[in-house]
Amino acid sequence: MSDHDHDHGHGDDGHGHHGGHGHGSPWIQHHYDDAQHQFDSGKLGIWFFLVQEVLFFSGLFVAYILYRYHHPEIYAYAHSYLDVKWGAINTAVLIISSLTAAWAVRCAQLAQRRGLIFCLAVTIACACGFLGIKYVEYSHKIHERILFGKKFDPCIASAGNHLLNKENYCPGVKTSVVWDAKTNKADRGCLDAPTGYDWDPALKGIQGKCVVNELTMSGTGANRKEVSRRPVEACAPSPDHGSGHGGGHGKQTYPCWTLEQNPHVCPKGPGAMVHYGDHTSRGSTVEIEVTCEAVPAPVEPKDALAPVDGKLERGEASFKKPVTPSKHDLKHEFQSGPPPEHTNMFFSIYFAMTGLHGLHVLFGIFVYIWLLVRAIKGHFTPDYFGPVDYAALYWHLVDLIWIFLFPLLYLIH
Amino acid sequence: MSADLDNTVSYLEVKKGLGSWLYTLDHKRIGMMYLCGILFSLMLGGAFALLVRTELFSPGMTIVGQDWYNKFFTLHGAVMVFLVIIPGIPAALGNMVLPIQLGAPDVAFPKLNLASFYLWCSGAFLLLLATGLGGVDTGWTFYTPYSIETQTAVIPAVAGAFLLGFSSIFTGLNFLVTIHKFRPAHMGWFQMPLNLWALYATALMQVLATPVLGITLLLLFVERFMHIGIFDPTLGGDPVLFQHFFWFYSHPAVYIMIVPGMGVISEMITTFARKPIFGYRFIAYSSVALALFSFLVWGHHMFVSGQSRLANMVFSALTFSVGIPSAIKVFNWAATLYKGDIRLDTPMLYVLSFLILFTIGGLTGIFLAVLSIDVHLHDTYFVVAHFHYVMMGSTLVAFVGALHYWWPKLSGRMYPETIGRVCAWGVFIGFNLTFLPQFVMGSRGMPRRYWDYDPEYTLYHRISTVGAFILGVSLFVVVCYLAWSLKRGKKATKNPWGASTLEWEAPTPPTVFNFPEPPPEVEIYNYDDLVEVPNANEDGVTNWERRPAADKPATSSHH
Amino acid sequence: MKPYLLAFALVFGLFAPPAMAQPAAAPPPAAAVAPAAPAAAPPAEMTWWEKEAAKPYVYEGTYWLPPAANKDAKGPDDLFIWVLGMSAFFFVAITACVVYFVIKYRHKPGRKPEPSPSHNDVLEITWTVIPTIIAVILFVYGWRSYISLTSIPETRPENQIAVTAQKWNWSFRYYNGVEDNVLHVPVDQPVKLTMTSTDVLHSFFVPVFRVKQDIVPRRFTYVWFWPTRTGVYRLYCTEYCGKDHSLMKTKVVVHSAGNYERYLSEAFGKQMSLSGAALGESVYKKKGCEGCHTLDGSVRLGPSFKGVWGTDVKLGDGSSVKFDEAYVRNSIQAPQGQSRPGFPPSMPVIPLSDKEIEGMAEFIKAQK
Repeated sequence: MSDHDHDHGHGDDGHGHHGGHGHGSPWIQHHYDDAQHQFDSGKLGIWFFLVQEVLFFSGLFVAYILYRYHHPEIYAYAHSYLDVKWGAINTAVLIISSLTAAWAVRCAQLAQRRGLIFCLAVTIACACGFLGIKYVEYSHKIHERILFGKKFDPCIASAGNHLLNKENYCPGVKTSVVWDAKTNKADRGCLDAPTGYDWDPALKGIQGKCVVNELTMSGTGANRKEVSRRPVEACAPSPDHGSGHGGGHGKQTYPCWTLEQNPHVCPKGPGAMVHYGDHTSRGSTVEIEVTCEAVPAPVEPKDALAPVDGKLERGEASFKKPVTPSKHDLKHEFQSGPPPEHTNMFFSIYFAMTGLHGLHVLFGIFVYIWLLVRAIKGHFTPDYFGPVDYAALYWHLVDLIWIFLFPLLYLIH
Repeated sequence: MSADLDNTVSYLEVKKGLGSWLYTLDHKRIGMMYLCGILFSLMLGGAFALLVRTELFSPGMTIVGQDWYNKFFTLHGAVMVFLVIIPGIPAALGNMVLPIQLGAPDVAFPKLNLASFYLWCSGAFLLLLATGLGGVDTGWTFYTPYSIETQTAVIPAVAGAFLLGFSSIFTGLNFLVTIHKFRPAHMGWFQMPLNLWALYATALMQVLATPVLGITLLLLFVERFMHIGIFDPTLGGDPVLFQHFFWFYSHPAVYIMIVPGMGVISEMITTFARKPIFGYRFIAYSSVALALFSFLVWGHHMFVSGQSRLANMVFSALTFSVGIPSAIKVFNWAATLYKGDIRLDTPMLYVLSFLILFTIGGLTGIFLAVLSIDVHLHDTYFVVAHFHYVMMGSTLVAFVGALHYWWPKLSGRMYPETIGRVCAWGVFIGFNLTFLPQFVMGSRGMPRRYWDYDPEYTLYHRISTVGAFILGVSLFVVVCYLAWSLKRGKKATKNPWGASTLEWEAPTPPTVFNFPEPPPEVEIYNYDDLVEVPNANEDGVTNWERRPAADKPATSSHH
Repeated sequence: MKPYLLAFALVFGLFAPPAMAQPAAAPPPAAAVAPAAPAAAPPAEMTWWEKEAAKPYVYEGTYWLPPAANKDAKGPDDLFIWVLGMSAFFFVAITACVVYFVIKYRHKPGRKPEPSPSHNDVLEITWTVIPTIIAVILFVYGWRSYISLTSIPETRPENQIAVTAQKWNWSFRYYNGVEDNVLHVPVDQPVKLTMTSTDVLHSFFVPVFRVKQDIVPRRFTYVWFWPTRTGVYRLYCTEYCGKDHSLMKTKVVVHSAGNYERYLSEAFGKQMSLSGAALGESVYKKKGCEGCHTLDGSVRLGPSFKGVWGTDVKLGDGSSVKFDEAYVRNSIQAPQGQSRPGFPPSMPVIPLSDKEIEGMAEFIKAQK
């Protein structure tokens, strides 16, 4: 009355019901005819689950494709913030773990309990290694404020300066100084110079007065033009930095330099130093222009015979001991120009995709720990090894998704 | 736990106590628990609806101000869509009936089934939490950028909807595997009841579409929580991208709602017309066609969103094509009635309501598929009326009808027939009074989600509000008498309607593993074997028995 | 033709009684122009265009559709009637079939169902093909009328108007710099609107023109129409945008060509002549400030302006400032930096000129 069809495919074979006698393993459930029925059902189930997982990630891949299509310059610029070395190590780690996951299935099928335990343990170890490397990458980015949304601000991160070089002007970060002729000292300047960074000591220029103008623009693209402008005070309070911008840069919008930091110079003389869109809160109609204006030479010291500090020359302020840029810094030297507007979007997609993938790796670790415990207890037999098989399929998908993520995010430019 | 249960006793009696319900693996108990939750949510969502309609009784403020009104319509939508209509027929009735129709002892993954139920509960809890924390006022569609900046409890609501999505995915996955792997040897694909075709098509959509909702809600959650920027225009994101992601799920979602409804209608109409369903293969194919086509038309919710005209053209053309399978089904059902032997029990009244209301709903969808008409009608009350006709007038009516249909089998009791018919009429009349005027309001220009409106729409709103109360009271009475009947209803027989599918061969109510002995092989939609036996039990309920095979006369053609 | 007549008769017959009864039953219309305006004294003297816009709206359309005031409304309107007729026909046919079968084949004791086929491929093909043909026809006509509805022709600069939608206010800027929150357009000429939003999604909807277009922040969307009759019509926001979404409505005034030019020049003159508190009051109304800030002391999304001048204001970071010109300027230009406890940080940045800001300060000062 009940027909058993041992076809292993996902076919539409009829199965009889009301078997339920004499299952080999205690893990065969009551409503299945036999172990094969349970295994086939579970296999079909895990495949449907994997299809669903692919669709879960698909939204992010679609977002990636759309943003990349519309803003290729962001991707070209931003992907170099990612370290290919770590990404490649992660790829290798995951591939090894996929191998051990598949091997574990084979061990279970052949009743090789020790091999099974070993393979499961190695899989877990590799997965943890993957997460450890992700931790390293993420913490580096948090440290350098290479994050998403409003938090993308490597220019003001204290350690994010390796991206700056002579030519690279972060919007809003530019050097100039207001020289107080009466005191013959730098009084205040235009920019929030990142602490710890040292400009090339060969940089000479003139000390200049920094003028900040707020421009009202109209139109877009080729039709964009200035409608009006008004001067604003450097260091005037910010429209938006009040909310969670952290790090003591609380309320400044117009770049503001203080005496405690190194005074710097206008590297190229008078003229517009930087011109950036103040998009964060004022719509696309307002832009900020910071101009360096030449000021008269400082007054000579009163005492003509007093020694002039050798380091203080006209146009040069006192510098801390210059630091040779590290290899890490030099690697990014080719960057030129400020980050394109909305470079943060690359990182939104990056963190969303790698974060979601990392979460799936974490879930996989929990699943494999559970499998390891069961394997040690001896639950898996050649008759019943479904969970090991299904988990390996899941793990292969996690690996496969990384294999797509890695080139898309790290490699192509 | 399950192996030691007594398979000769009704599943309701086999083990007692709260724990035996909360830890059950029996698909029927899980379905019953879903049913309780879903009916409770129906009442909750309905209460929000009545609050909305009461406020709209007069222009300006009637009972509440704008903030509360916005929260009421949002919560009405979210509760009804996520807690009632999407789970609705699959989770409550599908869980209870699907394995029995296959002659199987349970679904493929009973523990996953229980997990799905607990996911539903968690999602429901989070939505209630959002309500308790002051509500949500974004509309159930959560459009950005408003949903990013509003100060209301969006995060718990979105988290709840996310969990509900996974509940739906796991239920669908379970059904797919069960239908593939637990059919008896004699039941090929074209020997399955149409209800199973419908549940299969639904399950396909649940598994393929719901993850996209999952990622959308996850991104919205992260957007609100951490300002990731993907939908926020001030950070470079695209608010219209949210709409694409959202509707890529939510359009198949509406087919997840209606296709099971069509499945149960097919079952009921053939039983109450006492003849095979007309065009079995066409109905089966059209269910799967709807499932596949539903993925291609999401842009018709976005014709005026700034989408390109080329995209609009493609979506409009595809939207017309997705309406054709539904039309085929309606014609087939009407043809099933031809030369039948029609009995107007309560489930059949709901079937007839469905036919009329689904026709209106489907036809009004055509207005919205025509691009230039949609420009005028989009985001007006016309759309509100259209989707209520298909979601409520069709899906909910089918659900309530199917609940009455399977009630005897699953609870062992009959509901009271007279009041059942009165309420069926109440639902039909109340529903039409509520939503017919809304078509006119919409085409005259009344926008939706409006707390205040221009005075010339007042009469229509008032008719609509009166209808809503009639509808609400009728549904409330239905829930009441169903609960009443659990203890006081007449005892049911094995097959009070004379239906021909396998679940009616199981005892009433079924045992814990559905059949105490191996289930017989029955030829579905063949009514020649069934003989009516009036007054078959002590409560005077009719039963239909199968004549022995030897006495069978020549059968009418089947497929 | 016949389906059209049948449809018309059917639906008109079904719904005529409510429609006839409707004008008598409707309560008198509330204040027409600025629904969110507090109950202040009427302005001293309304200009002729303000009087025009304040005229009460009278519905003059057919049972289903408002009057058509756009040249390209004919396409969708005709299609609407055709689809209505076709829908009515199919609805009646199907319902009649169902009702007839239920009555004729109703169970009677002793009766058994007659044998009948359970499938008929010819019938299936027929009732697949015919709806498909109808669908194709409707799609093609719908597409064509949609194209003409959305293809923007050459428009004179005078007829190009910039629309800024914000929560919950419409602001129209005309080519000569006039700003208004009523949309004034000339009759019998194409008018093009360029629209953007400063905050969330909104949508521009004028029922009589049969046009609708979502307004997306940081993008420009476009809509055009060719008004065919003068008059005053309603303009709605039709994409849910928060609390006062239903109050975000205004009027469209279609002028004769001469009157349109007159409006532009006179409004410009009036706008230029304003200064001080009068300019502030004009800004208060036109830029939507009155949506959140009342003048009578009641608190809405933002604090009221009544009697606040010179008082001390406590800010979110604990500090306290005086309510003076600088505070007004900062609040307008950088509102998020002035967050106050008890109020949500919802105030958008609204670009105002220095003169307008001074006017606002004067205006608020005058609110005792």
